[in-house]
Amino acid sequence: MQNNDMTNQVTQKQRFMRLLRYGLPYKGLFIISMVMMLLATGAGLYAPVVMKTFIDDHVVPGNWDHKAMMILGCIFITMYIIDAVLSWFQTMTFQKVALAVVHDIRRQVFNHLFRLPMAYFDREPVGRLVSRVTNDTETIRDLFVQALPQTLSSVVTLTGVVIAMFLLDQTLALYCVAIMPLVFLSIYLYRRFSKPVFHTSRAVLSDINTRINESIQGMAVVQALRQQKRVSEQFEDLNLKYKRVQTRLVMINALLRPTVHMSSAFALAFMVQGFAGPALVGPVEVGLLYAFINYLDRMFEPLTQVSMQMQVWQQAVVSSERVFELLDEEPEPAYEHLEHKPFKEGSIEFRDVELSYDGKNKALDGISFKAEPGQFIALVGHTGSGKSSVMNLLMRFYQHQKGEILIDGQPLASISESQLRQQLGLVFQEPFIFHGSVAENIHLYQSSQCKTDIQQAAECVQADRFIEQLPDTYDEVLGERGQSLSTGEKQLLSFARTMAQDPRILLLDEATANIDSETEQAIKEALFSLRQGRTTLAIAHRLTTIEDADLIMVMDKGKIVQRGTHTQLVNQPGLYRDMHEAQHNQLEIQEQLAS
Amino acid sequence: MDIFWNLGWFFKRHWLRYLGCVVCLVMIALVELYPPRLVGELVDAIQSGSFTSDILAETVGLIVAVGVAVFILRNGWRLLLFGGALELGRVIRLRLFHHLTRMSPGFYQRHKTGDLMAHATNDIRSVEASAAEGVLTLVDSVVAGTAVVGAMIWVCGWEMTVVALLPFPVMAFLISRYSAQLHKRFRESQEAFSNLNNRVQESVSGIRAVRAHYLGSAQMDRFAKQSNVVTETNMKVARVDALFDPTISMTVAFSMLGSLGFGAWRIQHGAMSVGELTTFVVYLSMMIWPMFAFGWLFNIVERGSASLKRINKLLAEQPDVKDNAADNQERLDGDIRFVSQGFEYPGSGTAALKEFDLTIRKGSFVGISGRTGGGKTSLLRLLLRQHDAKGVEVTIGGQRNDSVSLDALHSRFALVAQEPFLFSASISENIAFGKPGATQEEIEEVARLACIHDDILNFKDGYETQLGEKGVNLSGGQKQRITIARALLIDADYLLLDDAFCSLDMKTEAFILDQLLNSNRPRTLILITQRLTNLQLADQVVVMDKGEITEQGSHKALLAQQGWYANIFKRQANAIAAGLDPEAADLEGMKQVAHINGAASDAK
Repeated sequence: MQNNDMTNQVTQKQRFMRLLRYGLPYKGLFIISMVMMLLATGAGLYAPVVMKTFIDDHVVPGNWDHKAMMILGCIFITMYIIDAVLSWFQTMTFQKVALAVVHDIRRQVFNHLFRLPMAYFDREPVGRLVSRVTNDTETIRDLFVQALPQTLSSVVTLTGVVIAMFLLDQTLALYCVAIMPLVFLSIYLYRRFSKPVFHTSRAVLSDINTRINESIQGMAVVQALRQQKRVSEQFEDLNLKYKRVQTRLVMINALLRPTVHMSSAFALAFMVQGFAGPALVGPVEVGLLYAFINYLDRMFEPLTQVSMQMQVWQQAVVSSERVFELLDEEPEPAYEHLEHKPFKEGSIEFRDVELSYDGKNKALDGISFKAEPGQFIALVGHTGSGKSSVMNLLMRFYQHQKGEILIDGQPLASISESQLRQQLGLVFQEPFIFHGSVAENIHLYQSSQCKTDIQQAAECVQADRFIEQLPDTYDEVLGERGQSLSTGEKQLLSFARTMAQDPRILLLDEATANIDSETEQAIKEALFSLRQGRTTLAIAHRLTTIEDADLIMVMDKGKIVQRGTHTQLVNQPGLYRDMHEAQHNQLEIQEQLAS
Repeated sequence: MDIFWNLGWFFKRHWLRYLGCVVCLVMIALVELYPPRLVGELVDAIQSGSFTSDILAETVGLIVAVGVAVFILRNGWRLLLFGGALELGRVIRLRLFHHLTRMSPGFYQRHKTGDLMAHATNDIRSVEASAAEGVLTLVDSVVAGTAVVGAMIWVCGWEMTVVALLPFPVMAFLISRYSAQLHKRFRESQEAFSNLNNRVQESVSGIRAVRAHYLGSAQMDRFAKQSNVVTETNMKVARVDALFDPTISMTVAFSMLGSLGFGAWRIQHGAMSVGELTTFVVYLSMMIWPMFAFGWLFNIVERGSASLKRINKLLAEQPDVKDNAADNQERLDGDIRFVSQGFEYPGSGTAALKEFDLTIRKGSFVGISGRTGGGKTSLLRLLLRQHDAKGVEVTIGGQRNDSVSLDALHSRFALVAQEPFLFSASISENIAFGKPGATQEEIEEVARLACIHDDILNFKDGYETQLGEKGVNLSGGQKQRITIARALLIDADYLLLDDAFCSLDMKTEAFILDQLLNSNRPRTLILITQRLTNLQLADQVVVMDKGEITEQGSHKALLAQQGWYANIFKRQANAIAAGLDPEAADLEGMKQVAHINGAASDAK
């Protein structure tokens, strides 16, 4: 246990050092900021000394030299002005550094996401990843813009005050410093006791939020099944639990927070003792008392600050752990730098390819086929038979373990990223619509495309008809995921996108969703025009759409169990013919019924 | 400040707690005035030469005693005040949750989940803050401020006090200006952050599309731009935020200079002692907190009021559907009849349902189909009274569906909605959601009926497998089958399936439907579907379009009509058979299809 704690502390320290390393590029600004902080603190601490002179040299002995007193007053105010102005600039410099650091971390995390293998995204829920990039970096921001500068300035002020005290009067300073262990003890105890409770409280809070969120989304179910009362009771249990945990936190706070205040009272008592004791035997300087009371105030302020920043530190360490975990995820091999070799033909070849997502079960097993340039190849099979895996491999979303995948005779891994994405056009089963205008969703930020290109692409796939109906036609801004469009319209839009991309190879994942019949006709025609002059690999859910395919591959449990043209497959026993016969029977019965 | 008035009910209920708290705070304010006075008297004693070790011991002892007393008083108010705020949070949270359980679907269409969540989290937190820090700053700024000013006047007279406090109004003015600015800029930075959040959300959820279309670097650029905006807005916040401390310390400096200068002049003229000046200067430093508290108070209270208003507005919303006959637990039974004179959703402007008269016989299997937006789901909504059916009279066995309580009405139906929704709980808890006491046998029986039993056994923890965020993610079809099992478990006489098979393959769909139709349990079955093959066995098929019933009759009769139904059925004949999604191609599936077809032929 002890050992565990130790290693834990070591890794926490490493993590923290790693966070600080992000500040290295800005160390010049940081040093300037620290120098300003030192100067400001010095000026601020010198002011009470001026006042001490004012009291001890003029007020107490009754030496009313107005000119000297005016000068002292001016110095006093000047010190404060220096302190104030430098403090402001210091804060701004520090903020600049801190925000730049957070910007850098954020960008690094976000950019790293795009280098991670697709399997990572299968594992991690979207919400969690979004939270890594935004909320966790926000907590780290709190550390850099708030906790770190506060802590630094607290340390500087505290050190400065102690030095100033010792310079003024050593005995008195000792009396004041004597109280410090008590303060540190209380801060230590506070940390010790609040930390576990704090963690529990956050966990319970997140449970509560999850519960509320879920209840809101599923309220129709709760009501239809008449479980309102039970759900409310369960919620109240959580609610009470949260209150109990929070109450414990309040109790710890109530007991330990006021100790800093009490310590300051004790320090005053000590100091009075130290100050007035000698007065029993000789003269003392009242101004000294003024200066020390002033310093005492400044001494406890940073201590309260530090204890208040503790939570931010703790949270930032937890968040940085999560962020680093993501950053330490092994990225995929980079294909960006590879030589740009344009595809000429667009042939696809799989040679004995094997793929396993989990290392145990084979998703693809000994897949071999060749698609000649311009051919139309169709994949059919059950859900989970491996059709999508073939696509995933071609799109380089996953890495296969055995065999070779060749495009135009070149290994897939030797093709540069931009080339691959340009020449492979994937049409998703559920097209993803980006936030932006219709035009942007078609050209996808390829600046080379002009307005007429976009319109032509839309016309080719008959998407122009619905786009012209939109209030702002091509400039219509589509909201989150294109909610305003129907499924069929989204399909057509994604066809236009692929048309504009003009790839050599077309990968089609046919939609299964129910689409109204008029749109379906348009989609059928659009697909036909998309296929022209391209090598096409299609996952088919509707057999009627693939009767003219050059090659149909029937997949089952990761293997290709049958291959041939429609005519060939229909004339041999097997899965395909069964399907075809079923179709035949069905048609007959329907005709019977219809007559 | 009206928030304190609006929370009056809570303060009244816990008056003893808040009285105790105020007493603590007032006593702290008064007791803390004592040590500076003691120090001043000590200084005067030294100056006048009347200083003894007894005086020293007494002074030191009293300062320590005050420190301890204040410590205990601080423990007290913290416990009372923050404890109270937690209780307030709990009560409001529960009230809100309870309210949510009473709201009709219309309410959830008007309010986004994120919005409602904000009420339950941020708004409750800022109301809590009003009841804790708000009360603290109110009492402290008023009581401690008055006490210190009073003590200053008492020790050194009003002239000194006025001179010393001259810079304070300037500070108060500046601080209030800063606060207003800060508030505005803070909101801008929040907005920028929320845009950043959306950007990330889009990129992550569309990662496949981003990669397939080679959008990585475009997305990175857009992100970097937005992150820059966030940095800039944060900088703007910092520029104002960094003004607070220097302003306060300058105020204190001028105040200190004024009182020392003026104090020196008064000492020169014998109007004041050095000890009194010392006391005064310490009091001056004690003015900072009340001034600060005052500024803070407005901030907290402003936010708290806005939040409480939002919460109360939400709580004031009445359910769209009134439970007028809440006491009538009568069990409705018999034919369902819709007599529609036209119905439109509030604010939609177009009629969701037009004129028609539709009867669904008890114990029959009725299929409803038609284009999206035709009014199919609206029928079910009105039947279940999820919306108020102005213009549509729904009767069950001749009795209006609003003549009994909502609870009694809902107890008659089992609904499987279009979008399957499951809770973050185990699979068995999810299936038994509508019947918490169900035995494992009952659960497994309905799971088998819904064709999900084998899938469940394949999970590592079987029926105890956790679903949701911390657990397994199911496929759309699995989710749908679990919701079907959940509906079957409550064993209602009327089973409503709203496109409940859309994610299932034909084979499973046919199997489930067959089980339902051939079970010994007599049920009324209403099935909304786009796949017309399902409807070959229906006693009655209803086709709806634009809120009207365009076709109605048996499958056979509708085919003969050569209308929409016949047209789509033929079209699907090509598509379905092919569309026989490959899954149905294996023999088991063939049999099911043949079975249905056979049954259809028999029916003929």
